[in-house]
Amino acid sequence: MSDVDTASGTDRVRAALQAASGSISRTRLLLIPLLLFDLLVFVVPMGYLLRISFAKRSVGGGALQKGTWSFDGYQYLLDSSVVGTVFRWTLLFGVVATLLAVAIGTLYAYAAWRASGTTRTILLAGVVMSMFTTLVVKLFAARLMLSPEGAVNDTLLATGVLDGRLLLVNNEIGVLIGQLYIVLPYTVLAVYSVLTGLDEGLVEAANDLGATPVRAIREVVLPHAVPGMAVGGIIAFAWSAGAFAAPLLLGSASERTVAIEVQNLLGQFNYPGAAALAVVLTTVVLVVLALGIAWLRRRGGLRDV
Amino acid sequence: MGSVRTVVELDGVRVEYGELVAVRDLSLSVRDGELFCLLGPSGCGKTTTLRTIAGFESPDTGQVVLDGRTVTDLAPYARDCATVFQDWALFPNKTVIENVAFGQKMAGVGKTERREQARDHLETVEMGDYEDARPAELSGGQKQRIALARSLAVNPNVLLLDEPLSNLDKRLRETMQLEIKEIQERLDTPMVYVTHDQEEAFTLADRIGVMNDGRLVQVGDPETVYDDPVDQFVESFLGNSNFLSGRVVGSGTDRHDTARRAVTVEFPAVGAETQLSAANSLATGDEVTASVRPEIVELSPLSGGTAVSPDGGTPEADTTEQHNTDIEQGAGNRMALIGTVLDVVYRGSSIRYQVGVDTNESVELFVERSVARAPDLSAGDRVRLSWDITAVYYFGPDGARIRV
Amino acid sequence: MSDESPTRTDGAGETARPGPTTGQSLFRRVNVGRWLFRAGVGTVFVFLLAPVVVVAVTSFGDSITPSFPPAEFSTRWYESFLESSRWQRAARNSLIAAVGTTVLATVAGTTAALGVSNLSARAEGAVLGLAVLPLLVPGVVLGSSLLVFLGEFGLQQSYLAVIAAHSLWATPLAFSVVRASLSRFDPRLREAALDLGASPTRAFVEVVAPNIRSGLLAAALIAFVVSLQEFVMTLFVSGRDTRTIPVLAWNELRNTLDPVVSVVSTLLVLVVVLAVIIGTLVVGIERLAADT
Repeated sequence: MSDVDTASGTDRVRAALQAASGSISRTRLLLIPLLLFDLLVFVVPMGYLLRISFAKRSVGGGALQKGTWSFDGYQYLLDSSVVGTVFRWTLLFGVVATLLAVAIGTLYAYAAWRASGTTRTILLAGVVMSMFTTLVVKLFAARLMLSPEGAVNDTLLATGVLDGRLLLVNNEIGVLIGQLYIVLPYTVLAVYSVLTGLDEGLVEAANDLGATPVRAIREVVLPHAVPGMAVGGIIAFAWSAGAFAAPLLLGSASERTVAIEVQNLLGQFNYPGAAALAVVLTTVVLVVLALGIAWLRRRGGLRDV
Repeated sequence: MGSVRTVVELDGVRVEYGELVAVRDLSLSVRDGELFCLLGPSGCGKTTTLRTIAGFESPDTGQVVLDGRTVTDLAPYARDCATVFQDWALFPNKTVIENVAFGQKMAGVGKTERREQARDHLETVEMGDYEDARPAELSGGQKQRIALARSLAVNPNVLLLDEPLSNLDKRLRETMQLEIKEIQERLDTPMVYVTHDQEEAFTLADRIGVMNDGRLVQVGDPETVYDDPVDQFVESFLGNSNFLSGRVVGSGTDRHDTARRAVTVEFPAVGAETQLSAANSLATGDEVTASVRPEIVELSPLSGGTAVSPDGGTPEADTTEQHNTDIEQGAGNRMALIGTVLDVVYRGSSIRYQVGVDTNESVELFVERSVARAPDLSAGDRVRLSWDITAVYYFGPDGARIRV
Repeated sequence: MSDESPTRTDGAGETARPGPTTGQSLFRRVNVGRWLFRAGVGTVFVFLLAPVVVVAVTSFGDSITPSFPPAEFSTRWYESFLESSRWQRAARNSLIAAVGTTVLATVAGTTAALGVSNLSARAEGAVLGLAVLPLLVPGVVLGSSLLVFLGEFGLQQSYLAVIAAHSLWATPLAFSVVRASLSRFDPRLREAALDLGASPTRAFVEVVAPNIRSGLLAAALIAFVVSLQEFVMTLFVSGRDTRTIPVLAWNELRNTLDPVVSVVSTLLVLVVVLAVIIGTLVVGIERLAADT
C-alpha cells in the first residue's frame, strides 16, 4: 500500500505511536498480566534468593535460620577450595562455547539464507526441530553416538580417518558438543532472523562488482548480521555459563560447573551457600553480558564512523 | 447563514506531541450539509485535526463539539462520526458486505436487517455485485467505494475523509471526486474532507479551510479564498504564481490622492518601482513580495523579435538594442517587460511558457494558457509580457496581504 | 591520463603473468571453498538432526541397554512404555504443564504485546527488558529461586510451580512472536473498527485477532513446545507426582540407560514434529524461524 508518500510526517508518527483510542491508560492495563507474572515468578523469587544468601546457616535441621543476617553463604564460597576453580572453568567454557556457537551458527544461518526453496526449508526445519527437542533427548543421543563404542567412532574407524577410538565423552569435548546441541539452534535463528531483513541482491551485486564470495560476506553480510550474532552470543553465553545438564551427562568430575555446584549445595541443605553462589553466578553472567553489549555498541559505532 | 446548524465545532484545539505542536489553538465550525475541505501541505496538522474530531487524538487544550454535544474526552466508538481512511482500512478478514455491515453489527442490529441496509449502501456506491468479494480482490477505486459505503452505513452525523483519493491515479481520482460530491449532495451528510490537493479542494468544497503549520489560516468559499487570499502562504499554496521580491525605498504621499500616505517599492528583478497606498505598516527597508498570477499576464510575440536569426546576434546585442523599450510604465496602469521564451511545456490541456526577462538574467516568469488560446511560440522567441498592476497581490514582510 | 608512466614498473609484470591461469586458480579456490562450506553446513545439519534419528532407531532395539545401531529390532520397549504407570504419569504431567504454560504465556505475552505498543520508547524498552531478562538468567538459578521461594508456601512441587517455571521462558518468546506479528498489522484497521462503534475488546475480537491469527497460533505453539522440552527448572521445582517426561528420562539415564527413554524421546519428538508441521502450515517455516 502506498500510504507513505502523502500522509504528513507528524500525522504518521502520531499514528504509529498511538494506534489506540484516546484512552491510553486502558491499553496500559494490558501490561498487568505480564508485569504481575514477572513480579511473582521472577522478581520476588530472585529477591528472596538474594535475601537467603545473607541468612545464617542452620546447624541442626532445616536449610537456614530465617530472619537472620550474616555473610555465612559468601564466606563459605571464599573458604571453599573448589569454587574458585569451578568458576574459572565455567567462564572459560562459557566463552569457548559461545564463540563456537556464534561462528557455526552464523555460517549455518548464512547458508540457509542463501539457499532457496526446499533446501532452505530443510535447513531451517532441521534447526527448528533441534531447538524444539528436549535437551535430555539430545544429550542422551549424543552420549550414545559419542561413546567409545558409538556411531561416531565406528564411522571414523571404518572410513580409516582414525586408527584408534577417540574419547568423546566424560571430558571437555563431550561437554562442549553437548552444550552446542543446546545453544546452536538459537544462535542460528538469531542470525537468520536479521539476515531476512537483508536484500539477497546485495550479495550478488557485490560479487558483480568484483568481490569474491568471502569478501562479499565480509563487506555486506557480516556487518548486517552483527546484531543477530550479538543476540545469539548473549543467549549462548548466558546458557553456557549456566551449563548444567551437558556437563553432568557428558562430562566427568573435572568438568563441574557453577550450576552443578549450586545444585550440590542445595542438596546439602546449605541454602545460604547455594543462594550466594547463584547470586554471584547471575551477577557475573549479567555483568559480562552488559560489558559485551557495551563493547559491541562502541565497536559498531566506530565502524559506522 | 446563522440559522444553519453547526455539526462540528472545534474551539481552541491544541494538539502536541512532546516538543512538536501539530495543531495550534484551532477553532473551526462545520455547518450541516456542507462539504468542508481542510487543505494544506504535508505536516500542516490537517490529518491531526481530523483525527481529533474522530476521537483518535485527544487535544491538550480546547473542546470538540459534535452536534451540540461536547465529546472532547469521548472514545471514537462513542462518537457519531465515521472516518474514511487514506488507505481505506478495509478489514481483510471480512467480505465486502461484512465490512459494510460492521458498524450496524457493533450497534447490535440483527444479521438480516444489517445486511439489507449494507446492500442499499453498496448500491449507493455502485458496488452491489461485490457483496462476497474480499478486499484483497478489489481495485483501489473499488476499495475506496467500499470504505465510503462502510462509513455511510453507520448513518454518521458527519463523515470524515482523510485524503481518501490520494492513493488513486489521477483519472480515477477525478471521477471519484465527482461521485463523492454527488453522494454528498444527495444524502446531505456533512463532510470534513482533508486533502493536500488544491484542485481537489476547489472541485469538492462548499467551504475551504487552508491550514499551515498547525493553524487555520483562512476559511471561506472557494472563490473568496482564491480571489482574496489573506497571506502569501495561501497565495502560493492555492496555485502557481510568479513571486517577485521588492523592497520599500521611500514613503510619501499618494500620487493620485495626496491626502493618503503611500510607500514606494522597488522590484529590482524587473527593474520597476510601484507606489503602494494605504500601507501604513510598511517602513523603508521592509521587504515586499508581489504575486503576478500567470492568468493576468498578457503574452505576445515581439514584432521583429521573430526576425532574430537563431544563430545570428548574441543575446547581449539584442538586449542593448531594445533596452529603451524594456519597461513601459504608467500607461494605463500596466507594466510591460521584454523577454525571451526559454521553454515551452505541454501540460495536457494547457501550455506553459517559461520566459527569461531581459532586465535580470536570473528572473524567470511563467505564463500558462489553455491550448485553444495559446500563442504559437517556441523557445528562443522574443516576447512582450504585460499585466495590469492593480491585479497584482502584495504581501508584507510577515507574509500578510497588503491591501491596496 | 599519463600514457607513459616510467614509475609503474609493475604494470609490465602484470601483463607478463599468464592471465588465464590466474583466473583458473581463483575459480578453483572459490569452488573448493564452496564445497568446504557446503560440507560444513551439511555436517552441522546432520549433527543437529542426529539425535532424533538415533533415539528413533534405538527405540526399536531389542537389547536391555540401548545401543546405536541396534543389533536386533523389536517393539518390546514400546510395550513396556505402555505398561509403565510412571511414564504414563509423566506424560500426563507434561501435557498438563504444557497446556497450562500455553494458556498463561499466550495470554500474558499477547496482552503485553498489545499494551506495549502505546508506551514511550523508554518505557517499552523497560518492559521488554524485564520480559526478556529471565531468558538470560541460568536455569539452575531460576529453578533454585523458585524452589526456595515457592517452598515457603509449600508449592515447590506443584503443577503451579512447573507451569510458572515453564512460563518464565515461554512468555518472552510468545511476547516477541505476537509483537512481531502486530508490527505487520495495520493500526488503522483497529481505528476503523473503533470508529465504526466497536469497543476496544470488540475491535480486538473482530479485527485484530483474526488478522494476527497466525502470530497468536505460533506463540501458543512455541509456548507448548517450550514447556514440553524444558528440563533444568523442572528438575528443581517438580516432585515425584508432578515430574515431566524430560525429568523422568533424566532420572532414568542417570541410573541405567533404559531403552524406554528412547521410546519416550521418540514419541516426544513426534509430538514436536507434529507441532512444527502445524506451525509451518500456519505461518510458514521461514516466519517461524525468523520471529522466535
